[in-house]
Amino acid sequence: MAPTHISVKNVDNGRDGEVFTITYQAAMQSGILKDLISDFEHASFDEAIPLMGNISDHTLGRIISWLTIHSRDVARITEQVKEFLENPQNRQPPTGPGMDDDAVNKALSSQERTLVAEKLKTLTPWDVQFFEVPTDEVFDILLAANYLDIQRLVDFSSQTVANMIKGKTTEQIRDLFGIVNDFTPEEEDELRRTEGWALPRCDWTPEQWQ
Amino acid sequence: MPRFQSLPNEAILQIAGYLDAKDFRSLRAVSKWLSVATTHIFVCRVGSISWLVTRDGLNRLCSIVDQPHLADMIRALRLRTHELCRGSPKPAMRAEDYHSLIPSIISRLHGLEFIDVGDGCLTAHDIDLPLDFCVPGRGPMNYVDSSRYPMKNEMLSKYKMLINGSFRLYTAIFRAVVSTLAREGRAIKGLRIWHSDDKQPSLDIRALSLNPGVPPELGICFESLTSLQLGLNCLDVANTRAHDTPHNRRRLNWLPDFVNLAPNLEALVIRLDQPNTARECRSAMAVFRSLAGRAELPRIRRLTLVNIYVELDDLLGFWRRLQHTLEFVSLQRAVAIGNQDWSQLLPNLNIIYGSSQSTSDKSISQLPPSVNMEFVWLLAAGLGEDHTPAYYTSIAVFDGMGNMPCRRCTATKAFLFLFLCYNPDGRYPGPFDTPSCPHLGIKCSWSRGAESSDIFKGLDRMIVTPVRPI
Repeated sequence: MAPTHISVKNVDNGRDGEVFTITYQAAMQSGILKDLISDFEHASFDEAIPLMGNISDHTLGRIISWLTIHSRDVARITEQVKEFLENPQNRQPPTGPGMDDDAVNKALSSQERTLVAEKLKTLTPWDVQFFEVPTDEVFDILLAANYLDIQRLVDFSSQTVANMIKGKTTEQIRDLFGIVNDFTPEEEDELRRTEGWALPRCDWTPEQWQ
Repeated sequence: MPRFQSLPNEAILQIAGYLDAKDFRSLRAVSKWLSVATTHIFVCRVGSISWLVTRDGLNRLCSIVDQPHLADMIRALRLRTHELCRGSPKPAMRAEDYHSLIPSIISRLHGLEFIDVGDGCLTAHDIDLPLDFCVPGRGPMNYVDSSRYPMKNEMLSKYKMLINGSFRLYTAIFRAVVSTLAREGRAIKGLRIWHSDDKQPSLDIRALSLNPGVPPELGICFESLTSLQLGLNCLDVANTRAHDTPHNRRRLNWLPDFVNLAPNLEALVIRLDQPNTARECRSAMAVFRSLAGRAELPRIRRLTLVNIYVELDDLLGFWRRLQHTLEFVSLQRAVAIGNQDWSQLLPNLNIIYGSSQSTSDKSISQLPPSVNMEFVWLLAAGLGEDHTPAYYTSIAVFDGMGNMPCRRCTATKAFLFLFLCYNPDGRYPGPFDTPSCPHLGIKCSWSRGAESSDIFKGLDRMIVTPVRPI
């Protein structure tokens, strides 16, 4: 039987760190924790599962809080979407009398999946606040989420970093992240010459033909 | 080391994926490491490129395709003959230049699957247009034909600019593209020649002439081509007995013969330019009749016909012949000429799709279970003398999607249609009373809550505006 809570012991650079407790449901959002829990399946879960990701206690604590807050997201959002779709006017394509049940159900479940997936990708106000931290800490969270295989948190962290970049010039991005320009003027010119053309007009795909 | 550069590549790719083109370009120029790290995203974005066909533009494209890691990723190429930038239009290059550069480019794009050739489009108020360059379109259309009339300054904020008047140029490009594909035996899945980005049907411009210099007797075959979209102008086709010459017949048959070069075609879009006079309508009708009679289309699944002029019998005959593979038919601004009008369409489709159900034909099981249909503005027109304008006699509006279920079914699948008729005498009969077929379960109902009076409000002239954008 699955435990209700899991204890995780952080191991940072070989040193035992803090022990965190997390609900089973929250932990299952992490691919790594999921694997570790299944590896420890026959154990009693009395002992904390060691996590060797070289993550600082502070960062892991924040991630545990994120996992806890978002542990019921899928169920909650699915419920909201179902409620939204109960109104026939919200359905795309609209369903109506005359369509058979199969067609209606198929259209609904497809739209439901799409809406749930979209909502899961959207940063909530809580997430925006969660990422209101120094830039380096955002990178720490991104790296840790990447290690722990928490795809949604990786997405959210990446979105946050992308939002920092948006609207900035190359020089401003260098300043923001402390990166030194290692292009020669000739190389920069070549980059502009060979790449400056296509991207602004890449708003078209053959799929749009259909 | 800066923390940003300690991020793994997959995280960098993920971040870059959230950036638009401008920001992405800024990021790539930050450092060599970032440039390398984001190359994967770059080549994926390059996979579909839009290109301005000037000598300089093509030469730069050549320099891109010289880089195999980029060239191999390009799946789709969109060639535009014109682009207006601030101040003035960039001239397209001379037609003869296409013959050397385009084949050279295409032969190096090994992954190319889709080609789109057209002129160009932009919004007039974005730029300073030279006044003698562009012009209002005819009637109430929000477009201008850049080739014919001068546009007044005060119109610039209102009109959208379709760059036009260069159909000979993109006909030349199209010819160069098709000849290259044929010579190299390239596996192309989609080919399109179009005269604007917008798919707006209302602009009267010359698109591809029906004689684009790619004679079917070349013996070429586009076996891999599954999607073809053509914008066609029929003005060069005469439709009188006096013009029944081999040359004219060749023009008339060009479309079906070209379509027949692609035996595996699954999606076909034909958009004819809107004719203005009765003679031009007759030409368009002759072109469709030729298509309906000669095009084989053994694997066609999706058929979209825009601005076609038809006798209903021709259309139904074509439909009947293709019914075994057709899964989707879209008629947009289709005009019926002759005695029959669109009210005969559904009853006839009932017959086409209903007739098999009483037979013991074993091939029934191989038929598609249903055909989905989309009808947007079906019109009927009267034709007078050749030089006189065509005039609409009635309009039937089908708005929405229909589904014609299996011919064997006893189910109650239904149309969800808005089906109205407009008569010139001003009466609005409301929902069309279609005879229902017990086997097909057809019934008509309102969609989107529209009322006939709303739709036809202000329709004092026979101005045709789609209920929704096509």
